[in-house]
Amino acid sequence: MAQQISINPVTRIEGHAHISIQLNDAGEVDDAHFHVTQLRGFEKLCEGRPFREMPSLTARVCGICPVSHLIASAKACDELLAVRIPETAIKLRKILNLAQMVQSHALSFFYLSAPDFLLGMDSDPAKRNIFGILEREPEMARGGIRLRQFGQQLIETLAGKRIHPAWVVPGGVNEPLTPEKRDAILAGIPEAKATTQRTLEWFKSILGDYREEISAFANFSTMFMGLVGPDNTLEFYDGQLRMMDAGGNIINPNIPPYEYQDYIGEAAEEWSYLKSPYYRPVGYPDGLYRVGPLARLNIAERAGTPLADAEMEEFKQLSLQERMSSFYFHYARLIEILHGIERIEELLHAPDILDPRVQATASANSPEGVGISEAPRGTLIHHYRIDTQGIMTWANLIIATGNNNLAMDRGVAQAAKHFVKGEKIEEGMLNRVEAVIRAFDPCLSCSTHAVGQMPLHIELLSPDGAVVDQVQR
Amino acid sequence: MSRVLVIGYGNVLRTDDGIGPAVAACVAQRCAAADVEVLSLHQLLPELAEPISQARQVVFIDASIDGVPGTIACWRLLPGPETEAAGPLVHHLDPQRLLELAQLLYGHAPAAALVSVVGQDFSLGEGLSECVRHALPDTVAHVDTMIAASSP
Repeated sequence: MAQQISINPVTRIEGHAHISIQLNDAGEVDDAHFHVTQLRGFEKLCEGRPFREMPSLTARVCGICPVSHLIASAKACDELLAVRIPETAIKLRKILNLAQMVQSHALSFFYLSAPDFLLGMDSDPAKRNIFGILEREPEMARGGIRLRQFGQQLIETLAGKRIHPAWVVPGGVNEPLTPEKRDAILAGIPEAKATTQRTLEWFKSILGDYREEISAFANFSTMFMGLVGPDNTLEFYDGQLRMMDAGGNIINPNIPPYEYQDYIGEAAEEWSYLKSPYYRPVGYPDGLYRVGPLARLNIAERAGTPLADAEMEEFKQLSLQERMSSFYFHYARLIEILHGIERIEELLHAPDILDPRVQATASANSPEGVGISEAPRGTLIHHYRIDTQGIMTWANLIIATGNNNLAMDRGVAQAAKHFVKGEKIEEGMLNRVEAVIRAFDPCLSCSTHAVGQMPLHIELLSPDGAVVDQVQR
Repeated sequence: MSRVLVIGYGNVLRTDDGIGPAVAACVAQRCAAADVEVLSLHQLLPELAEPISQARQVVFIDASIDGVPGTIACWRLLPGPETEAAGPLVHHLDPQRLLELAQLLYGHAPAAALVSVVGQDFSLGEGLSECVRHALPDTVAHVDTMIAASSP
């Protein structure tokens, strides 16, 4: 009799999810799905609110990624004001956005995923955490914690607090940078850089041990989407929204922000509250694409900062086919941290970084605004419409994690078919299916705009729907 | 000179879970001593290990779900896991684990105590329930006493 495995909740990810694995009559994996089980409906909450509240309001979508929402929201509000944002304010916003990327990637790599790499996919789950790393490699644990602290502290230094800061406002930021704050941030750069370089060297040295995971962790040809700078470098704040096909060809070099809905559709499936964006010209579900660190490194030609350029050149020596493996999200994440630290340093040395003119003020001059930026997990879109009084009448948010939903769902099926054997869930088997999701570093609070943690639940189901085995953590 | 670190933590949007931050706010307002630092946090994170390792004493303030609502309890804390099964550590830690982390990473876990207040209502909402609100002044007084007792 065919059966179904259930993994519920999925652990070491941001939010709440559940994986179900369907077995056929021969006891082999027939199909698997990634279910997101939380819902909040933030877009509706925004209606009726003054647009100036939107950065602070949408930052509440998540306690992990508030800065990403602040940035995309403020950019959409800038469009509503229809003013030119002071250059210094743009630089300061970029620093804040990069700090968010550094701290978020550090959390993903050191806290959530490194235990798998350092202690092994089959190791005792009770030890597979930061304490396990601490026992095995105390320097790595200390470095990871301090690297995240660097990003968090930077956010607090610039914006006043780490979670839900109100510093980014429509028109710019509400306070300039002081020399003392700049120097305090710069003092942390050398250690952050050294930690990242050391970790990158170590991670590259162990890649050979994970050939099987590389081959089966959401390793398939897809399109990639992300922002790139004008010189085809990594870009997180602004730039051209680009789509690349599975052959490495740029199929759309510059999707205009106000036309994103002509290119990105959002499908809904009955098994998940998380919508499934797809590339509209190709249709659903074949229009599957990926965003985030792996997509950005595949799309950009180079990083644009010296150390990250060298790392990216080495990364690009992998064939495009190899770079289709979602296991390499981890590799890309480390290169992005290095780039982020370098870019922060560069921006802090800009001659106008202490300029006190950091906010343009105006009334609402446009009925509609779209803000697109790169969050740690990928492309983030905020789209607002207001009435003549500046009151929100409509909002649409396309969240980084949501963009990857189809790929995560397909990746779970691929990994389950490769690793799950028989009717009983083994620990290493379970962890590898979870680890596929972890590679994407999804933030489900953001992607469903819902509140919650993310433990995971795996279920093994028979063809008639009966639960044969399940693991819940 | 090392300092006393007061950490009130909890979700202020979950009614009585906000007692930790509420006490922290009161202590911060009343205490002018230069060697006392007060933090108000949503949850405990590994990054706190470093400032904890540099303190001479740490006082954690949290809500509790066990007991008669409004009851105040003080516990001496030692580094180590609260339970044997540490679980898949995601984004938060208990105070003992944080002390352990400070010891392991930075070589020092200071004297530490947890002041807990049993909550009555943990539903969505701001503000404290009546019985927990009544316990607030005594809780603040407990913390003040602990700070005073730790003076070098």
